Amino acid sequence: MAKVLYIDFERCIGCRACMIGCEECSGHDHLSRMFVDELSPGETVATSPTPCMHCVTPACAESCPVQAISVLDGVVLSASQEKCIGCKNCTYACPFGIPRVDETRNLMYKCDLCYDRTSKGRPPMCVSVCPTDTILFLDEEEARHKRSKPVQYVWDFGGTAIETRTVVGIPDTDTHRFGYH
Amino acid sequence: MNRDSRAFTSYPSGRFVSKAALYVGIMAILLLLSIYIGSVGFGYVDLALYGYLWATVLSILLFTARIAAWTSRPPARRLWRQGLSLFSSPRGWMFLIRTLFDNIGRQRFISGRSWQRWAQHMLLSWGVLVSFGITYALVLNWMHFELVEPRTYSVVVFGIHLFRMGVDSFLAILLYHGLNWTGIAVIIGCLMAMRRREINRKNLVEQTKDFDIFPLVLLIAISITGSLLTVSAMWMEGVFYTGIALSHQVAVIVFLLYMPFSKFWHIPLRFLGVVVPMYHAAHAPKACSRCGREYATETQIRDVQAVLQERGIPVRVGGTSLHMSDFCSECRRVSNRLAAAGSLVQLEKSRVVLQGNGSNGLTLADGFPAGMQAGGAESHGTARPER
Repeated sequence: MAKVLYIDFERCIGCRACMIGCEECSGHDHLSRMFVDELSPGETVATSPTPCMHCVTPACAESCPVQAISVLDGVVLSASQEKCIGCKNCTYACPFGIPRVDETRNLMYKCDLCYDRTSKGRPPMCVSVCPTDTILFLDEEEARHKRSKPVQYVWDFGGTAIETRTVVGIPDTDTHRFGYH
Repeated sequence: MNRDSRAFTSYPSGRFVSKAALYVGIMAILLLLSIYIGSVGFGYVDLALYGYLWATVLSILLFTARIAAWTSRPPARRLWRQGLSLFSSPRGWMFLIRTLFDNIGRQRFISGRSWQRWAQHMLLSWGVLVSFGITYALVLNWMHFELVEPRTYSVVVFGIHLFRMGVDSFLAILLYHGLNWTGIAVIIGCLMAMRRREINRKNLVEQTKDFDIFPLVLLIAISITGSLLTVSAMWMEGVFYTGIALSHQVAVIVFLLYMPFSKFWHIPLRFLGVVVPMYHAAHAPKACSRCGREYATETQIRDVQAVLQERGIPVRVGGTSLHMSDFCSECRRVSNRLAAAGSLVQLEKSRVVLQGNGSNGLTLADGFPAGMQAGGAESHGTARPER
C-alpha cells in the first residue's frame, strides 16, 4: 500500500530539524523543501511544518507552461531540470504555498517525498529526524482514518475540491482538547 | 519506474486536431517552398541525402504537431502571448536580444548549477544546434557549393552566391569538416553527461534508460559513425564507407524521428524561457493581500488565476473574489493552518477577516464585510524576500 506523509502540526515544537534534515539530503543542494512557519508571531509560539501536499490534480503542474512537473507513482516531483524555465507560475498557483524557485540555478524545487529514499523503502528525511512525531510516514488508509483526531485531505477552495495525498491532522475545535492523543 | 499516466483535465480533441493539421499543413508548404527556392527550382537536389531529406521533413512536421499540442495548453499560450508582446517596443527588443544572448548564447541559466554542467551543456547544445544548422541546410538543399573556377567554390544559399573560397583553403577545410568539429564537441559533452549520470546519487535513482541514457548513446553513435566517414575517406581509401554511411544514416533517422517525443523536446522550451526575465521585470509588483509583501507581478498573478480557471481548478477564498494566489507563499501556508485551528485570519490593512469554511478551505468570516476585491489591496510595505 502507498505510504504518505501525515502531519500533526499540534505536536510541532518549531525545532526545524525537518528543514535541516531536508537541506542535507542528497541532491537538495542545501535548500529545504520543508517549511516551518510561525503561526501567530508575538501571540503564540505555535509553529507548523508544511511539506508538499502531493495533490491528485496538482495546480503547480497545471499552471506550468513547459510541463516540467510530472507525477510519478502518485508523487508530484520537482520540475524537470531540462524543462524548467524558472517562470514561477507554480509558486503562485499552489494553494499551499510550497514550490520555490532557486534564483541561482533558475530552477524550481519542492518536496518530492525523498523519492530516492522512499523508492528504496526508507522514510523521507524529515520523518526520520522529527523528534516529536509531528511528521509520520504512514500507509495512506491509516493516515486518512486516524481515529485520534480529524484529518484533512480534501480541501474546498471556494468550491474547487483539491484532494491531497499528504494528510494533515487538525485540532479538535469543538472541544478544544489538547491535541496529544 | 512507471510514469504515472494520470490524465489531467483533458482538452477538446477536435480543437487540437484542427489546429495541429493547420500548423502541419502550413509548415509542409513552407518546407516545400524552401526546398524549391534553395535548390534553385529542384536543380541542385542532392540525391545522396534523399533518405535524410524525408526523415528531416517528417521530423519537422512531427515537431510542429507537438508544438501545436503544447501551445494549446493555457499556461504555455499565455506565456507565448507575453513573449510576442516583447516585439511591440524597443525596450522589449533590447530585453529579447540580451536574454537570447544570456540564455541561449552563453547559457547562464545552467552556469549556477555547476561549471561542469555548464561546460557539458555548452558542448552538447552548441554541438547539436550547429549540427542541426549544417544538416538542415544540406539535406533540405538550402545550401550547396558550386565550382565556379577550377579551384574555387562559390557558397550558394537559397540561390544567392554568398562568397567564394579556395577548394583547399582554411575556411573550406573548416566548412567541409563542420560536422566533425561539432561531433567532437558532442562526444565530449556526452561523456561528461554519462559520467555525471554514473556518480550523481539523485540521478542514479531517478534517471531512466529510455529518457536519460538512450539520447546520449544515440548522440555518440551519430557522432562516431559520422566521424568514421571522414576517417574512411581520408585515411582508409574508402574501406567500409558504404556500411558506415548506412549505419550513420540509420542513426540519424532514428534521432530525427525520436527527437520530438524525447528529451530533446526541451530545446524549443528553452526559447520560451527567453521571455521570463522580461515577464518578471516589466510589470507592476503585486502585494500580498494578507501581509502586504510584494511577492510577484500583477500580470503574472492574473495569468495564473486565468490559467487555473481555464483548467477547471480555480483556488478561491469563499465569499470574496480573492484567490489563494493573492497571498504570498508563506501567508498561504499560515492561513490554511490558522483556519484549520479555528483561528481567524486577518488580512492586514484591508478590514477583511477570513475563517475556515468547514471543509478545509477559507471563507469570509461571519459578521465581517467583504471589504475588498481580488488584487485590489493597496501596495503595502516594501519588497522583501519570501520565506
